[in-house]
Amino acid sequence: MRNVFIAVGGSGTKVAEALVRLLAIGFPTHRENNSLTSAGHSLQIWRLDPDLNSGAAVALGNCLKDYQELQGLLNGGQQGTGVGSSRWAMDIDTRVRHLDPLQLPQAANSDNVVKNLGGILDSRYGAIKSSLPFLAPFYEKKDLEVEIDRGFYQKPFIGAAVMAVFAESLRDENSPGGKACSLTAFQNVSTNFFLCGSLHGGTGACGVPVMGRYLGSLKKNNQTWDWRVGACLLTPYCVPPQPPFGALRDGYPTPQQIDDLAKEHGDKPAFKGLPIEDKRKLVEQILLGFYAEPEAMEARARQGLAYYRDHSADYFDELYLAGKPEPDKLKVWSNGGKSQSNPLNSAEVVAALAALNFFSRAGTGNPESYVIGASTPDLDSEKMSLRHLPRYTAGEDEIEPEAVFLSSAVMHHLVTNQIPWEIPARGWPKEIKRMREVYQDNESRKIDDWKRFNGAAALLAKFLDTTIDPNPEHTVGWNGEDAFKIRPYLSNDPHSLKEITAKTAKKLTSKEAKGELELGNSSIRVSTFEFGDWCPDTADFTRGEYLRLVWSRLFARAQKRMRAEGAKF
Amino acid sequence: MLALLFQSSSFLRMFVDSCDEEGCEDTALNWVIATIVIAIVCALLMLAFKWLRKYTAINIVHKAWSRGQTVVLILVGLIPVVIILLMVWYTTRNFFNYVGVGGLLKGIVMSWLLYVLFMFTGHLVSPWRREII
Repeated sequence: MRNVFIAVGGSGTKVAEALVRLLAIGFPTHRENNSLTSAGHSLQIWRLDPDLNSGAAVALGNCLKDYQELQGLLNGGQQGTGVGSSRWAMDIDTRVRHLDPLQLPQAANSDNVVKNLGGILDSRYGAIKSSLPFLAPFYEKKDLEVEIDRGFYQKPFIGAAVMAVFAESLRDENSPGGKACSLTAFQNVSTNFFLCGSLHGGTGACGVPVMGRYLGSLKKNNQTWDWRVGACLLTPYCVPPQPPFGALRDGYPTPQQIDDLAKEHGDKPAFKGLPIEDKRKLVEQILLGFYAEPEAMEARARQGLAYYRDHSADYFDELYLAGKPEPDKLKVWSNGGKSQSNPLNSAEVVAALAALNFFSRAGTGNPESYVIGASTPDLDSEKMSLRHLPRYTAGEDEIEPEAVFLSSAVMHHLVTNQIPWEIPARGWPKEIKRMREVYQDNESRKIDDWKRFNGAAALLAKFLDTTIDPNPEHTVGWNGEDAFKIRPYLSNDPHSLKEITAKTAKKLTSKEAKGELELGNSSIRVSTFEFGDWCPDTADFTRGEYLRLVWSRLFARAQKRMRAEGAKF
Repeated sequence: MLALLFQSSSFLRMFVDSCDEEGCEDTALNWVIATIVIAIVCALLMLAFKWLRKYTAINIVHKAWSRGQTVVLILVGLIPVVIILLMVWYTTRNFFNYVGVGGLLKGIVMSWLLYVLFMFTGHLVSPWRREII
């Protein structure tokens, strides 16, 4: 099954990062050979954003690098192809397709060169004539002149026009967007297209409906292609602070005003490092009101939802909404670009789970209606736990995110600490006989696997920890309890090892474990002697295949310690 | 052959310092038998200790013994061999008087060799052979 995640704007890109993290951690999408897995399916990430070098894009790129390295360590067969592939998790094409809505067809070199709304809409390629006279009634001069290569400043009335031109250009396979998508490769191929962007922003608010409409109409015209189009709309879940100074009530700023403010605020984070001319431009942009206004977010989200209800919902097979009752407050104001590197938000993880639910083709119930997953009663959206995350369905199994985290953490501990790697395999005890048979005549394979398992485990630990770490540099919206409890499973500290080893110790009279390994409301009871029996049926298994088998067995043992409280898609 | 070797007077005399008096060969034979028995008992004790450690191991890593660990176990077993031999030698008047210090040292060496042989054999005939070869 092919999956395409279309990240629209900065929020969509953060959700793409969360999705890659969840897949790396082991979240499954289907059942194959009696194991829950995401391996065997593929994922492409498209990124629709005029801000090519945003902090979110850099973070996604780094995350994909780690994913590729993890997959390479677990397989090694397909490194260098740009596809992170192993039997541990989904194959992800690590080359993100950047769809720049400002890269439009050109009939002449002078077309679409000026990256502002006026420049884009007044391009005269093909048979299109000058449109400036028609723009005048709808836009002010400042709207047409502001540079839009860092996004649309949460102003959908600017972005929608650009996105409409861009979507139209996708019909031409030779246009920059058409080449990047190369949709002909998806004809007659079962594909899940999932769009994600904010409902209240600029790029997301106008990009998701326009792209959804485009894909939805293609799907309607080609019913045999087995395409599904879904989307997750992010309602306000974090608010940026106000810029260092406010906009003018009306009119244009004077050069003196601009110089004074550039001097006064030149050392603030958003201005730091910019050449003086760019500082002046930024001051002018703020004075003209081109920045995200936190107060207007809710109203814009409401308008956006009404638009979907009236015009766009029909093009989607499924629509998800994710947000927070009380948005988290960001601390640093930014004008986009690399300086806008917001930490991963727990709402973005929820949106990524919506994507997994969509990719698993589980559905959300009645296809004729919206299904909105309700928050749990004890949810404090600023301090979430894994148990608050919504469950989804893969195959016929209900996937509890907390149990997935626990299974991966326990797997990390078992594979790195509970296999006697230091000892030649021929000396391994009968309790790990099947693995011994694989390695006893191939000690070099064992040593190589040991080294690579350690490398993969380190990356897995990084994914597990930094996805829920309450450190504001990494994430926002977690209470930190889960991160605190998961760390001993990922640690080599003797005290933690002793404690976990005591819980995985077998009872004197049976193979059953003495204690339970816990995380939040989930627990797993497994002894190392039971774990020793787990081995793929054929000897030529990949490291990824082995990890998936172990993970799947652990997940099957995961139990709820208390009554389930989480919401479900 | 081995019994004949043990009974041959020249072999037995190796284990006593002075063999001027009548019956010294009997003392030497007893000393040799003592070294053999002690070697066997110590080997059995050390193998039993290893079995117990493995049986009560709480996880696979503790159950797996490396060659190094096994060699250390064998070497540690040499200590009780010496201690028991010393005790037997010191508390038995004939051994103390006739076997002497020279015989004691020779007995220790022979007991050690036998003990190591038994430990190796014990490992080779058991599933633990992979832990030593």
